[in-house]
Amino acid sequence: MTAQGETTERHADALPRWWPDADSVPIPRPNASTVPLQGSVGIYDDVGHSLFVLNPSASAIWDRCDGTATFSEIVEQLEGEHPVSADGIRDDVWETLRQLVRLGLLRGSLPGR
Amino acid sequence: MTEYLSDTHSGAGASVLTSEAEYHSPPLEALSFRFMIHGNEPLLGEYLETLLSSLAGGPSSGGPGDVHHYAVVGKPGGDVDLFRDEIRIAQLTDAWSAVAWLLWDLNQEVVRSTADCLLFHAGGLQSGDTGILLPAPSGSGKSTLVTALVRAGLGHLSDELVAFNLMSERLLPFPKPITLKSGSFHFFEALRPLDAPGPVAGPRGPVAEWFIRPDDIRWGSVGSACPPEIVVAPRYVTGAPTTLRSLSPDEAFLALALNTVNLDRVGADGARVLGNLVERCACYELVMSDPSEAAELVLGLLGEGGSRS
Repeated sequence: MTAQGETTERHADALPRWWPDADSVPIPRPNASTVPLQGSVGIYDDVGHSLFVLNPSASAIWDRCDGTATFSEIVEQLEGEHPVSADGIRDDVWETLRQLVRLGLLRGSLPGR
Repeated sequence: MTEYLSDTHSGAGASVLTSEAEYHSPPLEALSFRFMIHGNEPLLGEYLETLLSSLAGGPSSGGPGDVHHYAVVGKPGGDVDLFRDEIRIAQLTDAWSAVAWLLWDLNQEVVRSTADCLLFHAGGLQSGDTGILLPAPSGSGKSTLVTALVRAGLGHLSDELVAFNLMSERLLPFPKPITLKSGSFHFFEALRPLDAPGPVAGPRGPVAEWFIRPDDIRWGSVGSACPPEIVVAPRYVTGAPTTLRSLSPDEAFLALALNTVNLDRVGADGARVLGNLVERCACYELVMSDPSEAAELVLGLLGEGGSRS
């Protein structure tokens, strides 16, 4: 965590246990190039020279990480689109965002910053 | 010839005075890698020139730019040293091994020197304005399938390394000889080279290989640049029935991505190219054990717009 209020490390150890909370804003890193794939997405990491293919659930979360939406807003959007399976969505989004930070594809601002 | 043989066995110190060699090839061109071959054994030189004849006379063969020089130097006792640009890259015990090494090294240099293309570890074929890409790792049957499809009438682009030009968005021909391994020999007995050797010391250990010119499969079979329209990821499974199935976009993306050669150099543009290819191409997985059956399935994918060359 830096003075600028961002998670900057790629590894889980650098993530606060609470992140993301309701007001956290996940922000795609500039090195992550998105390739749309009809329902899923490929992401190329231009720094680590790694290529990822997200499954449709993770892709739906990634698509909503536009640098302005908070964790709560992302969850609400997905719950609105998938009311039948809304129960587990909050946990899925929380774990997926943490995983995307670990992979170096997202950084996360602190709440209120 | 004397100076040509004054090899100091010190790599960079080797004196390879190509003007004194007894054999010089014409300029050859493999994608953007231009080269000549020199040697002290005219018969071996003529064999190499014939084997690589499909790389001669490219449109920019006479243009400016670096020309690299291979030297194949026979020594007393039958040993052969292989040099590239006066650096010895292999010491071999026979001429066949030198041929295998030269072809392997040529592939490496083509990869190293090609900057404006996304390269795939893949076979490539042309049918009119339709390019077919066969991305797969070694041992999947690419060369076998390419040979069967060239024999069936398609244009040959490559059996191993296919270049997608980022500007023209076309597949480019790299028609070096097709390398068939021993497991495929029985499918193509008519193509057996004269004096085909047994296992030779290739870069990856002893292996029995045939090097087949595209023109020896079918005269005039070398294809030309064409846009990719079909992706078929072959997978050889001994005894398996030949089957073809559509790949989902993410499966196709992975099949292509896992067989890129220089994605790290091309970067995000390359990733976008992969996405575009998935979008524009019909993508399939082909499980095969019989190349003739497999070729028939691939030929069946060609629509009315894809006439054979």
